[in-house]
Amino acid sequence: MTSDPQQRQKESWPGTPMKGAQVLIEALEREGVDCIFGYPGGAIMPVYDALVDANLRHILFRHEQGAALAADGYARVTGKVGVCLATSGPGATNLVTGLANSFMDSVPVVAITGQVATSHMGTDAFQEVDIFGISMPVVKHSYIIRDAASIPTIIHEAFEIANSGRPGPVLIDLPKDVANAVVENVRFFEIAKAAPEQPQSDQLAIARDLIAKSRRPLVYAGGGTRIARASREVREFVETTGIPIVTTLQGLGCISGKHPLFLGMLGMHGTKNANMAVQESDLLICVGARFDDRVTGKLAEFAPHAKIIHMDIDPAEIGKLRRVQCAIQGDIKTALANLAVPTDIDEWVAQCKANKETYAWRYDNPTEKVYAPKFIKELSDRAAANTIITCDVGQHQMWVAQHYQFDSPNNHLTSGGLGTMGFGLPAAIGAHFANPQSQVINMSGDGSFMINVQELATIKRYSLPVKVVIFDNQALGMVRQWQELFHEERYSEVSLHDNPNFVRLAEAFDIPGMEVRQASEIDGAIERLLNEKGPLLVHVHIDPKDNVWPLVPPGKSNSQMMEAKPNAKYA
Amino acid sequence: MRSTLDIRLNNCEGALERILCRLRQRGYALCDMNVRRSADFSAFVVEVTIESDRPMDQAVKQLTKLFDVQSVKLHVQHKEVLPGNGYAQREKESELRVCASV
Ligand SMILES: Cc1ncc(C[n+]2csc(CCOP(=O)(O)OP(=O)(O)O)c2C)c(N)n1
Ligand SMILES: [Mg+2]
Repeated sequence: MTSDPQQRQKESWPGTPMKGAQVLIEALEREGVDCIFGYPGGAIMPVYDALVDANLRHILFRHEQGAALAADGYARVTGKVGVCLATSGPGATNLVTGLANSFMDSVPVVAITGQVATSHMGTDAFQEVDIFGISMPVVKHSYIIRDAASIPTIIHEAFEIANSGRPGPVLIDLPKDVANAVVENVRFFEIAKAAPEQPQSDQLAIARDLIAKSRRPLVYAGGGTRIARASREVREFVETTGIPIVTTLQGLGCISGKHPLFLGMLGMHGTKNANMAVQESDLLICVGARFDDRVTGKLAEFAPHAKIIHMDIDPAEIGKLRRVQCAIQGDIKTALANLAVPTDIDEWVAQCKANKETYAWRYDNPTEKVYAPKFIKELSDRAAANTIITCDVGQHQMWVAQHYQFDSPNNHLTSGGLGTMGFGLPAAIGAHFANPQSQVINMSGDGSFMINVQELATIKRYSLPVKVVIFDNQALGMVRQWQELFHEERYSEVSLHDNPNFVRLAEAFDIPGMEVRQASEIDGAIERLLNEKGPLLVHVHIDPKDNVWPLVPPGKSNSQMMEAKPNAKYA
Repeated sequence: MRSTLDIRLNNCEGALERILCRLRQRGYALCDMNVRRSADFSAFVVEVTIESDRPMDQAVKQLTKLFDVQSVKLHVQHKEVLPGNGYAQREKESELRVCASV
């Protein structure tokens, strides 16, 4: 591998003519792609033809959104670019939610769409949509390939863009005539990854000074730690300085959920001690996070006493929403490794730890019903450390974030920025192909599960040992909770009382299922979940009235957390 | 605030659209725009005047991130504010306060 672009380029089989579609597949293989997720159709047929002779594996999904979200899940686990493939028109538009999901959570994905022939583009041809235009706001970059000879260059560039700096999705639209065109002298590129930008030493010096002088410092770590694979550096920084840490939803696992200095997730459904620590801190060390509204609550009252050190690879994030005292733009691994200075913060750490104990979660459930947090905590205690959990969106997602203790951010796949219901099942399939050795469990809700339920067919086809847990509260629970709390209990279209029989549904795909109705059945269900060789669907009935606590009401400051009513079951 | 930016970008399919899309989506209203191609046709040279309550350096950073953008210079900051700009108005109503950057 060499970083010199002139040297990187190397000639391959001079004179061997190839079709554009074959060049595309060859270029993907040269980028190290081992599997791609997709769905065929007219305009992409040349590529599917070339796939017959390819070395890489194609996984057929049952909806293009599934393929796009699987590519996203695959990329989150491996750190490599996930690739999805679809035809023109409806195939391409079905990818858009997946692209937006990857865009919002900075996930490296390359999406390839078939397009009608160049001569037909712009004529409202059959299955023509302007996917280049439609996807523009949710991609990092995009291409329409006009000349088959440029395919290797474009693929190489697309992979570089997707997975360098702040990662994101790249779309490549391939007209059918270009895919069929013959290229005489194909030139390919070898893989070379640009080194991440390094932080500036003067800013690091300012940061060290701020940290040394601070009496109440706090690390606020986000998804950037997952992207940079900086868990080790985060842990070492926290342990050498003794500074407590809170994380965002995407940052969970960058420090072990069991670590004594970990105070939990912050923000809307964060722990009380995490939010209190933020509100009281005098220095917030923001590592790869972006002051999202779910995290800050009322921005003007977020961490009101804190100076800010903001580390991010993306210069546009630094100072976007909060003025900073120290801006460290570049690789957070290098930055963290250069910031360990002696601190004098014993009193503060003791206070944080005391609060952590005072506000620790309670799992003493007085009823016979299943309490989802208890199920999740039990699973977390018993599952292997490398278990990958994928989530959907809603109350169950927040319960997983609160109660599952992750050891790596790459084991927690959750749609944060976009909040895509239906993410969990396809992401679990992508995660399985990314890491077949790990157990993969999709924790879903009765609403979310139905959004990409068709992917049960994908599990069946490839005999995947993917597990699904559905927390069934017969409702679009998170929306119901908001209607209860903020719309005077005017419930509107949130009841799912007529859910299908999920176990029978799974059986239709030859996937065994089981039901859990009582707290006493949790133990056996988890036992089976962890030991079943093939796929399994566990349908867990929970109390429809259970809510996620604590909660910062929309527009309120993080110091105004609502907690369960004193007379509620789980105080 | 109203500012004029000098942008140089690759003469690539969609490049101009991309800068307009980014500016609109990030809350910068377009007031004026001039485009010409560079002498060798390899680039577009754009002079664009935008208006927003949001900090102008954010517009610069957001444009700089685009792959096709070669350079962005904040070249004039206009003092007087023009009335009746839709974006600026909506922004005030929605109470979103964006702090100045580093
Ligand atoms: C695709 C999509 N549509 C709508 C929403 C809005 N939404 C957020 S949470 C939620 C309810 C989720 O219900 P369920 O999956 O059963 O989870 P629960 O909250 O009940 O645990 C809805 C409708 C969304 N996030 N994504
Ligand atoms: Mg539900």
